[in-house]
Amino acid sequence: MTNQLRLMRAEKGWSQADLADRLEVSRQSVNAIETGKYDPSLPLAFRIARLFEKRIEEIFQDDA
Amino acid sequence: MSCSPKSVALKAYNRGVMQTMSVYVATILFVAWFVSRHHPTGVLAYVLAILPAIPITGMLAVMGIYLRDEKDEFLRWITIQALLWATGVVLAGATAVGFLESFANVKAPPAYWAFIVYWLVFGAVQFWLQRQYRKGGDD
Repeated sequence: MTNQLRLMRAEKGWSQADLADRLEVSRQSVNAIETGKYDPSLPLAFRIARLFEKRIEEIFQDDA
Repeated sequence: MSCSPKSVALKAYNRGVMQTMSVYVATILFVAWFVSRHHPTGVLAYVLAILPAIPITGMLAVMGIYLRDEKDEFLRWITIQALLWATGVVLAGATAVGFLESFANVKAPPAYWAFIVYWLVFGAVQFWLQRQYRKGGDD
């Protein structure tokens, strides 16, 4: 899966730590998601989508 | 464990490990002293021998509580991967040692070494996973 998280975070001017605080996860988690090494669960994906006021598929794209 | 300063579960885990390890050290020192001084036999010897295993087993409970309470799914995932690696290495190692003992007359180390190896592998794998997942971060 690929995602636009890093881009969207940069648009907001947030650091990974800022985003981690807003999502109530570790900065490590944000980094792993941004680099595509970890795919978030649906509940976390929804939290991310709500935070950026976008639909999940606008943030995450299935490579298949 | 993973470094997440905000994780309440991680703080509780660290506290739990310190407590169980403190009880373990105190217990094993007491048992070693008592056995060397009084040479107990029978039921008392069994009870004393099993005492140090209780706090050690408590560490597993502390880990279970951490996995239940950790809200950060990624940290949970890293921990679970490390636990699975440790379980696999210890099971494979114990099986190999068992066969060496049965068929090659190799003297096996005391069984409690399995627990030590388990946590060593757990720690090493977790450290390695954290390094892997940290790569590529920009800030």
